[in-house]
Amino acid sequence: MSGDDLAFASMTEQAAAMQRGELSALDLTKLYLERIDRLNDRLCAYITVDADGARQAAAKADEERAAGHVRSKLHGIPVAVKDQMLIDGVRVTGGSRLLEHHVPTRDATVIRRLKEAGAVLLGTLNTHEFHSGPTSVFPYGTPRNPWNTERITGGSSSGSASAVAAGLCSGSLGGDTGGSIRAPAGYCGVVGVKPTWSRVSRDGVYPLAWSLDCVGPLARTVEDAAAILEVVAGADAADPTASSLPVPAFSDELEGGLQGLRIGVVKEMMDAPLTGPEARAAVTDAIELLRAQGAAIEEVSLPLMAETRFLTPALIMPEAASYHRKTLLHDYEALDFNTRVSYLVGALLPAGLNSLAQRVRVRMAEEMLAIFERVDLLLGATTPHGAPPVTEAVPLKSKQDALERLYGVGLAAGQHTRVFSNAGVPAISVPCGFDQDGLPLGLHLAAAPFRESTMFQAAHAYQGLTDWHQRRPALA
Amino acid sequence: MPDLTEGQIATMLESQGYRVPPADLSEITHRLNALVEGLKDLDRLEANLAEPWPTLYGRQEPR
Repeated sequence: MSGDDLAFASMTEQAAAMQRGELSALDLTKLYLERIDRLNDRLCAYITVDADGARQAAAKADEERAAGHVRSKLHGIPVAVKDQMLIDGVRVTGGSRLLEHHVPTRDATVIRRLKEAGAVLLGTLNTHEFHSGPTSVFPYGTPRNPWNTERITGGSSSGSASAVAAGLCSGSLGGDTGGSIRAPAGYCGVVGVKPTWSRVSRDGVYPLAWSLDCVGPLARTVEDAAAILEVVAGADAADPTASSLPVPAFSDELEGGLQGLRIGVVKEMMDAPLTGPEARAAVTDAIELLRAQGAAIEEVSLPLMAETRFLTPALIMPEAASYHRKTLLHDYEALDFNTRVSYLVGALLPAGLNSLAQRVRVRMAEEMLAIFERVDLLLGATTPHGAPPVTEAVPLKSKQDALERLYGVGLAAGQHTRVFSNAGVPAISVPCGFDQDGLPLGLHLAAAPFRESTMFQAAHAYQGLTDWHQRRPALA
Repeated sequence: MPDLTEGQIATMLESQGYRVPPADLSEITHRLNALVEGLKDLDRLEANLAEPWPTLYGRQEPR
């Protein structure tokens, strides 16, 4: 394989080459470090690159493999993580100027598990300040979409999607509160997974909103994403919310196929204004492909889905305001404009309305769980359209302006993803085509709680029938 | 129902110890008034039929 082919190969292919003795972890790590050095100024995917640490970890992985000790499918595989997860001895900023010099002295649980699995950590990946998005100014550079650098990556796992799409790592971890893994994955043409809420420990992960936050993988294939998730998921004494349910070997359970799978196409995720014509056409093609392979397709409805445009901010911002209260009191102007005003809206939201939003969230979850009694998966578009242009934030002029520009139906990518976040169920975005501007589009699948395996099986089968995930951006 | 004014927003912020520049105050006022207006519309959903707990599946078996 050439250098570029190797950089874009799946983790599975890379691991197989290592096992055959055709590739070393150190050579693969050096390849990614060279690509980061060459491309990161244009993409701003990485905030901190730990080149020395990565080379040392790769050399150790090679020594262990030579001695016959292979820790996992991630052994010697170079990955990177959203700048949200504590890494012992590596700067972790939360995407904020406030933590520009913060070097943790311990690992988050997910980082410890990656290291124990033999993965090589390349560094931390760009994100909206404290993961709340959309940030007005990125202190570490505005993340750019590898398919068109004038377009956004989506967020807040901006760098996590961009780095995978541009061949700057084998896979990554992101964080998803209302769609922050799946929307960037859709915009950048990679696989992104939000697991069931509580499936993965949040210990050592900067929070945005505890009742919604999830950590999950991004990768070029479903198989790779499944392999990463099975490493980082599972019970954790350091996070009392982490589920104690056993973690399946997701990447060994991918061959279930589509025959007999019951898939509900969410009407609201296919119709305008929530979904544009190009995304709808791409997802419709995917549906026909799934049907032809034996899936039973029916239309379903989530009438409460449109309410997420008000509901989700009412859930997230009060939690974020409470976590960042001391910063808002003492370092207010060091926060980005959008971050600080969003949090203060959360601080001022009447408690009764926050409680109302929590009740509606439960109604939304109940509505969805009832549908999962008769279907295995829910399906729709990941985002309304391809990635929008990078623009500068313009201050609001009035309440009406806010209703139209901030909370307007069909505006935010998150309106497709939030409904599954609110219900706490697992969801995945897989590439399913391109729009007329050559920007990727995503197919969104969700499953009942802890049914990630079903979701992975369907998404893996879809990738076996298509080649969208094998295409590369010209930049890279 | 009337919207909150910038003055009222400033007082509410100060009551929690927050002091913000005028540009921020304007933005917070517009955003909060819009969010409250949108949330009030949720009253039609009979939300009291559900308890306001988060989706805690952590100790449950899969359905």
